[in-house]
Amino acid sequence: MPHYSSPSVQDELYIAGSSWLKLEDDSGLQLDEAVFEACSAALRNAGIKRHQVALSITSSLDLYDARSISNALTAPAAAGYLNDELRVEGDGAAAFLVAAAGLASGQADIAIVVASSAPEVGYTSEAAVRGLQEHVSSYTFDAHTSRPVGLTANTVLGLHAANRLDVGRVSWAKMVESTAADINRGAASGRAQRAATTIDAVASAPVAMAPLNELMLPASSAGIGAIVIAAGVAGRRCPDPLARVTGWGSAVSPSPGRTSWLTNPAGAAGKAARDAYRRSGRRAEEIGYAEMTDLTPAMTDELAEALQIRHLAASERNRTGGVRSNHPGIANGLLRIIEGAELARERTAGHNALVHAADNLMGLTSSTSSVLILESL
Amino acid sequence: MKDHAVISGVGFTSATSPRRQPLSKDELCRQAADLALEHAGVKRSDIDTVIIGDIAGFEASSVSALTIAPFLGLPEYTNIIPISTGGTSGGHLANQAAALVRAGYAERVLCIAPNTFDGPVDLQAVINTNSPMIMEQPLGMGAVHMGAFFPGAYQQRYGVTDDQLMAVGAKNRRHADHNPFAHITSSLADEHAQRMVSTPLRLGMVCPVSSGAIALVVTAESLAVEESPNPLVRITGASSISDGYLGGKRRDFSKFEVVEHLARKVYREAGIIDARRDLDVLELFVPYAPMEYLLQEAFLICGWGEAPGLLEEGATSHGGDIPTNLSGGPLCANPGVAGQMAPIAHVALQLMGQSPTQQAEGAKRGLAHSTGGTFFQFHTATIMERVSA
Repeated sequence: MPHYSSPSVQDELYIAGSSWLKLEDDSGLQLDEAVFEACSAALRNAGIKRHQVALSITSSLDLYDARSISNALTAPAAAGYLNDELRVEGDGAAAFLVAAAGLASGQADIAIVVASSAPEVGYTSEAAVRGLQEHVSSYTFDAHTSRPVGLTANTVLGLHAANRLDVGRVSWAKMVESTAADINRGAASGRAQRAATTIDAVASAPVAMAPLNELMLPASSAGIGAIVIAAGVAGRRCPDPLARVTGWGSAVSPSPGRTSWLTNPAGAAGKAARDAYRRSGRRAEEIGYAEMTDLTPAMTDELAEALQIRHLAASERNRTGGVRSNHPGIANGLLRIIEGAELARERTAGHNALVHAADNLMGLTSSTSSVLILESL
Repeated sequence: MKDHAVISGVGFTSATSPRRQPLSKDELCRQAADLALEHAGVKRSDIDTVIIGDIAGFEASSVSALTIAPFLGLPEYTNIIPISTGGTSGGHLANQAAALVRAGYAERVLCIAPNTFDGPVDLQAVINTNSPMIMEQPLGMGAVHMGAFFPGAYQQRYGVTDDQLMAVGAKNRRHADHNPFAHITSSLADEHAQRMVSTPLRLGMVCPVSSGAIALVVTAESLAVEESPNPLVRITGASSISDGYLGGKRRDFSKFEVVEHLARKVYREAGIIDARRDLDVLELFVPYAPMEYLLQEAFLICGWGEAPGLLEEGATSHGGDIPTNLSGGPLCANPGVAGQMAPIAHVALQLMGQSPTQQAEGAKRGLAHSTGGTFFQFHTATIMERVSA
């Protein structure tokens, strides 16, 4: 087990700027153009020039991008030209932590993280994007043991929800109610993938993966996010940083071959949260707001418990609806951080927010949970 | 705990051709991990992070790290970081492990470089899909065609002969005769070696398609002092660079201009002032033999156009003052991501004084390099230094 040190001056990391580009059917941008637009907007938001960036980290998947080594196309557009660059084949929050490690190690003072979920399927509707994600998810499972029995991210989510209904940990009525509430909270935000709805509409939505219906699954969307992170004085000298990163942790949930993904699916999130609290020196009760990735309403309560945020009122969790309002695939983690950082900027100095992200490449199995503690400035 | 990062364990499986490989990717990775852990003197439960590389378009799975990791037998909740940057995935593994250790994010990182090329039936056709869609893809270009641009320009600029290009291949295959993990050695018949592949590249200048895996353990130095039975090899410089996507961005194909940029950066970090004097051993990722000349020049070992002279005077062979690719390099085994991390593994063992190839006596500091992407867009460099007696 790592023996974490308390944060030092060198670990003082700031979210200096961010941007989110929601991709629509008529965006008219090629992949690298969209990445360039998102990164340029984040740099402008941070008040930082491109040449000040020394490290560029990308989160993307070749199978979404319909080409091998797709980061070859996007790295130069993400301030990677003549720079230190790396592509993490996972969720945007995991890429964020790799960039943060780069800064904390002294590798660079300013980094940009870009997460791209721009599936080359011609359309950005929820059904079109989800179809591709499920196809790609199938290829993520083991070819010999899991793929032949039809495992995908959504089948895993369905299996979990069925188990929770069976053992009485959740009720159908509560899942319907919280889904409608999530969607409606997010509907007013500019980033929503789903329009406002009613409890009746949620209850009667088409079944997607029994017992989950389409609206209970994440709201698949396309988008590209970018965040500028700066260390120490580079961050403090930025015109208007959004938040300071005081704690972080990550852990990976059990693989499909183990049973603990079903009995304790929030175990990895819990471990990541404990590490983040320890690093930040904050107690759970000091957290005033949370962004979390509860992939289905059947996960919400046990995830909140693992993250130690049960004390938060519903209005202080996932203000813009979380993944049931907008889930841009592997860019989800970056969107959650952006949402958390924007909220942190609205709050008074010293306010603490928790951000949790987990990829949905294989549902609740082999999923990387990342937790950040953000402090308002 | 922030600390220096050292390579404390290395594990190689043997390399062969994919057609003759009896083990699966998962089995090879497990075997390499077992060897690296044993070499480092640590247990599976000591590992807190595993970094696994792939080249996504070449794999039978999306994010193959997620299907490989369960076979490594690591504790539940161990962090998995999948890295996929094409031909530099392997080079990034150790560099990223070093960053995690230096940052205090991890203490013992297992780096897994799997075999990559066991699946594709036509590798050049797969490689074609990473090139620009408007120009290179319709022309049917693969890696070997892109690789031929550079020696062609180099010959034109400096008047280098075909024999001088072939001499690199011959030298590296002689080195590989002493490497138990090599796939191709000097037994390659001259009639095969002379077969033209893509002008001016002949078969003897072109890497094989190999199968095998490599693992490294990268540890916080203060822990390795206590637990590692090996001399400590610190990663003192680690960086990467991206050129532009389109081939035209290379500007001058007779040089790896972008590598000079990387070299200056990584030498500054490692405190290297005179590369030829300060470095004792080089392992350069040279899938096409003439690239060794271009890379030696870009890494500032000698002036532009002077590298063939280094080979002719014996400086880059075993016993010379700047031995290069004593393992034989990728011309003798190129199992994809494993081939990209091999330079780091070989330099680490050289500096430990434990090279399975010919030992560069007294070597204290070395450079490892990897490259990939369309027209070699990406490069990594790793400087390692022996810090214990």
